[in-house]
Amino acid sequence: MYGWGGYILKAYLTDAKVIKDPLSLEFARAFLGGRGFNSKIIYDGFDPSVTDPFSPKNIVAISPGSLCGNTLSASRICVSVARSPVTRVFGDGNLGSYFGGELKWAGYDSIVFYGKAKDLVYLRIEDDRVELRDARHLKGKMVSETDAILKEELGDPDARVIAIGPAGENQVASAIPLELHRAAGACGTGGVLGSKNVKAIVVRGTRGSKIARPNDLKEAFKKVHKKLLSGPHYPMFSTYGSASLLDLFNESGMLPTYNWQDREVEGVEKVYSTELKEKYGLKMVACLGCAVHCEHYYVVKEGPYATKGAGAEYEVTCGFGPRAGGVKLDAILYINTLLNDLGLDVVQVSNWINTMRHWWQDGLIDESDTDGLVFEWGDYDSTIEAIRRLAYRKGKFGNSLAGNIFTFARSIADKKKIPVEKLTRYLIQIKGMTQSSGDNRLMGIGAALSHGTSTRGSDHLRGVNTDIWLQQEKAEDIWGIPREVAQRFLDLGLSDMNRYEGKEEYVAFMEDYCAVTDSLGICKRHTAWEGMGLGLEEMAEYLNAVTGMNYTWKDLRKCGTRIYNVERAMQARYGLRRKDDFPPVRFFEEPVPSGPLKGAILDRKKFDKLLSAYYRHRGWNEEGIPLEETLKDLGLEDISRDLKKRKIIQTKKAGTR
Amino acid sequence: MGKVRVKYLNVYSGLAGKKEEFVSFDDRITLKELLDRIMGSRKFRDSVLDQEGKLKPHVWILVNRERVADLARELGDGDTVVFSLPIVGG
Repeated sequence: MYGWGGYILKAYLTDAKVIKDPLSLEFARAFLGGRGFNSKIIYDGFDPSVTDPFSPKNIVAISPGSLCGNTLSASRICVSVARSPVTRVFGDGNLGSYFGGELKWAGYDSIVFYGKAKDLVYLRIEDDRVELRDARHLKGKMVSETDAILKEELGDPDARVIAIGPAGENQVASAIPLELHRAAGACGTGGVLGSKNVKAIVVRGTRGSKIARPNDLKEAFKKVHKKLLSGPHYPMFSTYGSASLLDLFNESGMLPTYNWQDREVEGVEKVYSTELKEKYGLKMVACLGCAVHCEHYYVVKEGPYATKGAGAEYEVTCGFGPRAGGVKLDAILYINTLLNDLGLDVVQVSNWINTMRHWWQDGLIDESDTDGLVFEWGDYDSTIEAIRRLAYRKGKFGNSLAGNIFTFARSIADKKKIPVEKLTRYLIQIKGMTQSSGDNRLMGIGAALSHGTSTRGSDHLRGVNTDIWLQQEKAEDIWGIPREVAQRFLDLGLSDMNRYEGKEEYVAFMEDYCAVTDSLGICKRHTAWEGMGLGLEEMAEYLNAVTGMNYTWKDLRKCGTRIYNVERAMQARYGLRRKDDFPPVRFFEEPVPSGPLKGAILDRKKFDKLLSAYYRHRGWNEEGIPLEETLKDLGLEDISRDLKKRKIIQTKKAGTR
Repeated sequence: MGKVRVKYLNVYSGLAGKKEEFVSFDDRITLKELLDRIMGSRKFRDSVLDQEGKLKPHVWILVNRERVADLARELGDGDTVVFSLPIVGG
């Protein structure tokens, strides 16, 4: 078998046993790797009647993309859980890494954790040698400490480590695993690892990759590399990182501030990427094999927020900057390092804390609800203290918030005898997952639909992040999308950001596209998603050179469709339906209050109609559940049978309820 | 006599060698005329305009926070012109 490592590791923690299952070529061809592998493994292995995310019956799957470790900028691993403590349904997180390549070089395409270890353990992988080891000495250690201790203990500074921090051990809902500063953000997979007593995974692989057509790979690499470096956004990301997006969002009037209440915050230029680079940036750093090197190494040399670390993406500078009503860049960098070390997700935590500020502003909470903490806009010291209390479940407040922002909201609602919806409507969330720093009223209707239909909750990474990229006169200027597809989008008039009609085609295409990139392990920063040039054609060329297969871009898209339908069926099995595909209520009720786009708002009636068109285009029924013939066409007869057995599936034509 | 503020965001600050500047004009000035005055280096010009002198498809020029593609657009005293790339990703 070329390209793939050839084995899946199954760690049965309760029995302290790890087995190696050969990877089926048929399975690999259909689901590619990474996210595709995880989704199907979890669908097949999990009993959806288990509702507790911290039950030993939950499953964690960790899979590198199928192209990881093969020179291309493909380094991403997907970490998935059957039940997320954030959303209570299927969830995952992707991280760029060195770990993914190393795992492939050791010969593995996936690690799946079942059960619960008796005490804290770590999984050690060194080619054929795979064992669960005692990790009690790592209890309470930060992510960076864990990384350093394990490398030293093993005498291998080049080993790669994914670890959880104290937040994961304490089963905080928003806890995540990281490879140092590289985070598997979003769905709280760290707390689930913590509940299983898995502190870390250490891998060393010396076998390298088995390439089917090395010369083809060399040629494909040259072509892709050239295209990547000539991309219009390459200089921006490689010099200023994604923090540069804050500059763009603000100058175009799209920056969300004060928990999406406004567009302005005083002194916003203090958190521009140029400030980050000039005042605190040391150099840019890359994931394995990546030409874009979009992360900052930073240092704050002195003062109360002295720190050093890496990353500092737009989500942290905006989430703890303008969205928090503040502009203290040194404090934001301190928070970034702290979150990474404690093993907490930037997007969820920033949203939870900013929503509390919003409640505070409107008099819905006070010191009696927060163990004395004050939640004023732009107050960084209270934010830092709140993060510590959250990670360690300290006090009544910290413990309640650690359960999830909804748990906390319910406790406040009960105490004050108010409907919980009065509080939860402040949250910018879909399916329980809070949103990154875009605004569904402004980023285009395609982006609004895509956030809604995302299979893991409100998400800019699952499909369309903005319709802006379609604003071109010529199809050739829409980078990374097959020319014929781009031309169709233009013919349909989809370059109009505010147009509802036809956006279902764009969204479905991008959702499939993202499922492919997440399964191949390709960073979205190289693709059409980020306005860069790595398209499905190049991905197919690359995958064929590595595996010896003969995928066309249409074959790859079909794999993406298949993966998306597995996830959709899985969420249907948990009970998610049409009502769960709508953007946050505030985007339908509160117009943008200022700036050049003042007055922008989503139209519920038009959105509802678009949702129906999207379901029809997807071959799903009016509740958003895949139809039997759709699943059959994708070779998912087993899922079709399962949904029928559970009386979820219907054979009625799309468009019927 | 008028004055416009020109802001160069991230990559453009590298190309222009400054983060911002103020440009004065006597009677009237169009966006095209402004570009001719401020784009000193060949590299900067090539990154913004194509061979026919048209705005490249992946360049955003914002006038008072609104995207403007028409280089004949006349600017007024106190306007802010921003050089940016389109918003993408996250």
